[in-house]
Amino acid sequence: MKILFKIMVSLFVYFFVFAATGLAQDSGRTYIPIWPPKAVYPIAVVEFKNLDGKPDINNISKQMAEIISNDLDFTGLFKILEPASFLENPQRSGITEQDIDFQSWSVIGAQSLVKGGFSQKGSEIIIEARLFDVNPPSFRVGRRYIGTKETIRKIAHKFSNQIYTALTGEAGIFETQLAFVKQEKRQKEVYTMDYDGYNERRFSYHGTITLSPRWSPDGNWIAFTSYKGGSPNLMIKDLITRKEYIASPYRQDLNISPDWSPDGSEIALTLKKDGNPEIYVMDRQGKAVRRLTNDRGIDVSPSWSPDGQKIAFVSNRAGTPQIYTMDRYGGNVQRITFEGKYNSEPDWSPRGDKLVYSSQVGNFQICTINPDGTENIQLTWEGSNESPKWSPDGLHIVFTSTRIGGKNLYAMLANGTNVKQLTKAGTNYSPSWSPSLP
Amino acid sequence: MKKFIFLLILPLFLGLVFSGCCCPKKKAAEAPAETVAPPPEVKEEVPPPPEEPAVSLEPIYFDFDKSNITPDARAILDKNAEWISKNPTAKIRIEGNCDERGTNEYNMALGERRANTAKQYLLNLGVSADRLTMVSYGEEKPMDPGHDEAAWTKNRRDDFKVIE
Repeated sequence: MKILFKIMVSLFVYFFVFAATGLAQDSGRTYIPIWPPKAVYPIAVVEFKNLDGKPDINNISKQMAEIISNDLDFTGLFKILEPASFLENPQRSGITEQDIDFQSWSVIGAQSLVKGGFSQKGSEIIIEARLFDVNPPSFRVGRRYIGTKETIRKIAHKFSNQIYTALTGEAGIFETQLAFVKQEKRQKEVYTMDYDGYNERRFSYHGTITLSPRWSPDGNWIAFTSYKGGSPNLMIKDLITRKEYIASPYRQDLNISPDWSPDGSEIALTLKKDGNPEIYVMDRQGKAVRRLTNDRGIDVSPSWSPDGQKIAFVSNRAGTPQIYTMDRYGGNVQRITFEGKYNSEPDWSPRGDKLVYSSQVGNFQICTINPDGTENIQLTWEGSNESPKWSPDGLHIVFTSTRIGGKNLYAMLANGTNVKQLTKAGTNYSPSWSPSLP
Repeated sequence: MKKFIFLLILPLFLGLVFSGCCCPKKKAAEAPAETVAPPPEVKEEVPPPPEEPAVSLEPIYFDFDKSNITPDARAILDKNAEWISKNPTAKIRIEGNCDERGTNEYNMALGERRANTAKQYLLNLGVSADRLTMVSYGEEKPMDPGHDEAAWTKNRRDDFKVIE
């Protein structure tokens, strides 16, 4: 008995110590902190090597490097080294750990190195990509992809996610999409596109006016308001099958400003069925409708907190549009904004700690505020800026801006820096950011 | 007892030895290749646009962010009410609109309020409720696409479309 006891204690200690040293080994890796974004981590992204010498008619070599560089630049964490400063010819240099002269990368200041290659087999493109530490040299992550010329961008985004996770420990957003409204003459239809503004694709085919597209939390559906049929209805449409259905609880009603609950089981929206625009919650079939607000003002634009316990919204019950929060049953209403005469369109950060909204300060500008009303910060300063929405990692904000004339979508970091123009042509507004999905 | 202590120290020793050589197996073989295919194409068509009513009565106008009936609006509503009573088969759709300032969603609700106050006024004058429907277009259907006060004034309005 005593021997058995001693053996068990030994085994216990053995596993504990072995596991502990194993953990210490992993936690020796330091991640780049994702906040505040200082754009100091130097990384070299090299054009991809043409491995079989076939003509690179789709410009895969430069596209892969450019897309990955732009993805990393978007985060505000990296200093993307200038290709002109590279010391080697990328089409004649190795792409595996044994074949790379890491010294020539260390000398130009790179701490990380991205290299890859591709070959083509008919319409198939086979791409391999690798991330290395430079000093001391170490292979970090590698992937192989089989795609076509239509999916080059997607492959690059996938590998950018691998790089981002390896270096920061966090999930990347480079495969996410945006939904938005595009106006052509008098028609306003829902479109989707990659988060970086590429691959615009029409989503609604109603030939009329649509508003307020919102991605479902599982990424499979977009809810939006449409005037197909003459009066506004809430539509829910499937991304893959493109089948849509009417989810309005009542026809001849407002059916506007939908927002999905974090688990996707409910939708908050504004109806006027009881005589006044109020906020209601329903299931995705338009049933089980329950009323949340009860006042004589306009209540609109609900936004759920990420834990599903609270809802931020806009009300003019105190005279002008201001931002409020309430619990998921409509109780405990708190006013959040007290500066400015017109505060609207709140969106609750997936991190839970901030609301982004638009405020009329002359023109409209994007601001953030804590859910308790503290730390009111203005982020934009030029043109008129509206309809802000958080990225799924809570680090970026997409919004509509008129700063160069017309209406276009822009993105910026949560502190207002690193502003990127996403749409280049036409009239584009009212964005919604998809979730990050595998 | 000494033997027991030795057994306890052994794993500590082994752990230190093994932690020295960092796991080369992590450098491994890359994961198997991932196939990345484009999304399926689905053909869709736009339906023909609905017919717009041909006749409309005179519109009324509102102040910024307001939905109350002004004295000027009252005069027009009185005239419209008279026309409605002289044309007993006509149905009227009251369409509430806003200028482009402010946010699309709030303006949908404001347009709804503007349509509603006009409806209440007409009901009060004796127009029967089954002759009136309402829709809000918010800022989505401006009469004047301009970006100045002249355009905005024209857009803050209720239209009265006659549907037979």
